[in-house]
Amino acid sequence: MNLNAVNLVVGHSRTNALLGPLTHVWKAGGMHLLLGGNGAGKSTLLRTLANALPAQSGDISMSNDDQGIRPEDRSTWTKSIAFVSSRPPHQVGLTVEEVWALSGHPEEVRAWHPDLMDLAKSRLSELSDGQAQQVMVARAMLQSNRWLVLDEPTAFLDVQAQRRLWSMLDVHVERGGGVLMATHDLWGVERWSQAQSEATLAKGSLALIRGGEIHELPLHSSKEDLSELLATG
Amino acid sequence: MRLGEVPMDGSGWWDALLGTGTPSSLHTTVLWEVRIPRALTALAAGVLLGWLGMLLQTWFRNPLAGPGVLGITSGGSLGVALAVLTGVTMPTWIAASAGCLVVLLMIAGAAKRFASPVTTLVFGLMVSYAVGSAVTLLQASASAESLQTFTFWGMGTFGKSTMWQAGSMVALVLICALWLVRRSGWLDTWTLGEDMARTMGVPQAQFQGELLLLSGVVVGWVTSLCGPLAFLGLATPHVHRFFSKARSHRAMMGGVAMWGGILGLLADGVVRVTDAVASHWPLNAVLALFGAPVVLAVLWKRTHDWS
Repeated sequence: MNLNAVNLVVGHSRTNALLGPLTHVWKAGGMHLLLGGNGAGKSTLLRTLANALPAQSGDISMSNDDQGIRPEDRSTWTKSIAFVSSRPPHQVGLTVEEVWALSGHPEEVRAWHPDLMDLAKSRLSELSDGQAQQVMVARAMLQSNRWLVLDEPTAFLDVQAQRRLWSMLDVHVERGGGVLMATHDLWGVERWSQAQSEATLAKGSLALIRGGEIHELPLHSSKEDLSELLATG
Repeated sequence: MRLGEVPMDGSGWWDALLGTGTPSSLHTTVLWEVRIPRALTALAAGVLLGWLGMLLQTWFRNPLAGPGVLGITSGGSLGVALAVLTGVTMPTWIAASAGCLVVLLMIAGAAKRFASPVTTLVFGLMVSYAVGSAVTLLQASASAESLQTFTFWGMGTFGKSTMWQAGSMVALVLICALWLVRRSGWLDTWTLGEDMARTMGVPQAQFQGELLLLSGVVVGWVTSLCGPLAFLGLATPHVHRFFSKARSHRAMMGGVAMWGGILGLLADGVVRVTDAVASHWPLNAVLALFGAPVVLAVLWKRTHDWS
C-alpha cells in the first residue's frame, strides 16, 4: 500500500509547526530515504506517520487500488506501520522473546534473521546498542508487513552494526514491505544508490527535507554530491 | 493468630476457627472479629500496595516510584485530615481517594514536562511536603479529640478493620488481579517507552485513565483503612526483582503479590509482638525499618534492568 500525506503539517503543537503543509506519496515496497539537517523535522514527520504524534493538520492514509486505511483505525494502522527510533529503549528487563511476543510470533524471526534467535532469552537491557537495535527492527517486522518507519536507526551504531541493520531492511523489502528511513549515513545511502542503479525495477526514492518542504533527489547520488548538498544550508 | 492479649492454645484456636467442640465465645469473637480481619487486611494491603508500586514504577519508568514517594499517600492523608479534623461528614475512603487522585493528576501532568525521572520524583516529594504542611495547619486548629484520632491513624495499623472492610480489601485484590491480567500486554509495551507504546497500538489516554483511577481508588481505600503506609509499595517489587528473573507483568504479579503479602504479615507480626511485650511499635516505624534499607540497596546496586 502506498503511504500518502496530503497537506500534512507536523510539529509538537499547532503554534509550532515544524514542517508542512506537505503532500507526498511513498510508493508501496522499496526503500525510501529521507535526508536533512538536524531540526528539519524528519523525526517529527516520521513519528507522526507512525502515530506516535498527532498530525497538526492535514491527512495521512495508506491506499492501494482496492482499499484505504487511516490512522484513526488504530488496530489496522498499527499492523500496517511500525516504528524504530534512533536509540533502542533503555532499562527494559523483558527478554528479547518477550519483546517480540508483544508484536507477533517470535518464531517468525528465525526465517528472516536466524542468528538473532541466539539472543531470544537475553534481556534487552543486557544487549549492546547494535544488538538491541536489530532486535527492535525484527520486532517492527513482526508488527507490520507493510511499512517500517525508522528514525536514524544507525545513528549510534558502529560500522559493522550499521551494515547489518541495512541488510536486515533488505529482507523486509524482499518480502514486499516498504521502508521509510531518515538517515545521516551517507556511506550507506551511496551503497543503496548503487544497488538501485543496478536493479532493473527500482522502487525506492531519495528525498531531502529542507525549509519545511520535501525535495526529491536523483536516485543515483554519490556521497560527495550529497554531503555537498547537505553542507550548503 | 494465636498471639495476642487473649491467649489461645492450639485446640482452642482450631475450635474457634472451625466451630468444632465447644469453643469459648470469647475465643470465637476474638478470632473472627479481630484476628482474622487483621490478618486479611495485612495480607491484602501488602498485595495491593506491592502491585501499585509495580504499576507506578512501570508508568513513570522509574525504579524509585511508589505511592509514598510520589506524594500520592500524602494526598490521601490530606483528604482524611479534611474529613476527620474539620468534621465534614464524608466516608474517609472517598476523601482519601479524592486526595490521591488529585495528587496523581498533578504528577501525571507534571511528568510530561520533565525529561528526567528524577525531576518527577522531586516534584512528588515537594507535593508531599506541601500537602504535609497543609495537614499540619489543619491539625493546629483541630479539636484535641479529633487530633488524637488522626494521629493514631497516621501511625498506620492493620488492626482497625472489621470483617467487612477486610473483605472489601480482598475484593479489591481480585479486581486488581483481573485488570493486571487484562492489561499486562499494555504494561509490558509501556516499558519500551511512550512513543513505542503509541506506535504499537496502546491507546494512551485510556491506559493512563485506567491506571489513574485504579491507583487512586486502591491507595485511597488502603490509606483510609490502614493509614498512610510507608515503603510497602516502593520496596515490594524490588524484593521480587531481587529473588526472581521474571520481568513481564504477568509473570511478576504473582511474585509481587506473594512478597507483598509476606511483608504485610511480617510487619504486622512485629507490631503484634511488640504489643505483647507492651512496647507498642507503630506499623509505619516497622515498615520504614524494613523499607529504607531496601531502597538504599536499590540505589547501591543501580541495576540496569529494574523494569
